[in-house]
Amino acid sequence: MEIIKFLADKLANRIGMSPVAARGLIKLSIKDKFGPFKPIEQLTYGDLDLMIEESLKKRLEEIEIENLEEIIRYLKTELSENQSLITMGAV
Amino acid sequence: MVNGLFLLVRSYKLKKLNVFYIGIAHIFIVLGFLGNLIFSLSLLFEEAFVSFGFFFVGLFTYTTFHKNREVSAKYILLLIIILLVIHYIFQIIFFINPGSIIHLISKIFDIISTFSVFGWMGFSSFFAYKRIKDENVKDWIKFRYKLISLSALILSVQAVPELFMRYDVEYGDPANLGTLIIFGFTLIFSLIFSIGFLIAWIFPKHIKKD
Repeated sequence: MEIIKFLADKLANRIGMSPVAARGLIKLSIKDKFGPFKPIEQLTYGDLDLMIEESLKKRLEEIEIENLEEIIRYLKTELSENQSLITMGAV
Repeated sequence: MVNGLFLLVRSYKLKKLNVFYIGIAHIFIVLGFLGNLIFSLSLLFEEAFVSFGFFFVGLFTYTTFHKNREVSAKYILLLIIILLVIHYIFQIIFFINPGSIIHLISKIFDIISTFSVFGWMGFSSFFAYKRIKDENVKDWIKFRYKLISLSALILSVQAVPELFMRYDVEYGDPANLGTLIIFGFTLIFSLIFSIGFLIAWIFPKHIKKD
């Protein structure tokens, strides 16, 4: 799903992680929040927003990322501004 | 119609309400035109279906590009609904009591509402594209943004030629050259939009994997 790749690139750039690792982190956060059976293509804006706010934040906390609140805010803004990617990249 | 059905199937598979909106919009618009031009179910039938279709196009634009970030977008959607309702009321008045002034006012509202619906979609897609054009996003997705933007902006001026149509001549009447030319322009605008939109949404899977 393009929006996940997009958010992962943003996160990677912000915390100095590789884009592939950041994508893995986001995918794991999705599984934490919605379980392993929810198809990624069916995730909505609300699902992704919740994932960033809760499970991704928790995982970033665990690996002791600095400026956590700022990064979460940044990711949520990027998601909001580019929400059309959820549809444009999925259909 | 093909595009509409395809988008409805995809909306069911992806569980995406906004894709349902644009799918049902296509179906409504096509049914409206078919109902009037092929089955002669009257202009009011056409306008009702087309107006509902335009409303769903507006809803698609709102839910896809703006819903979670701009409060002002709600007012644009509201404005579109008001314009469509006013236009439909004038169409009813024209249907009951045809006249050149009512025809002119109705066409002006038609132009403004068509431009609001498709111009909004075109500009929304264009500005969304501008935000992602330098990002690591697949080329076919960037192309989709551009194609939707271009085809929607072309369709946004589709109603303008109708302003020059006489009120007492049937739309597309082969016996009247002026109306036939206007009908031709409208048809060309609609065809460009339909083909552009069809290409934008129905990408072969092998292109998506690149």
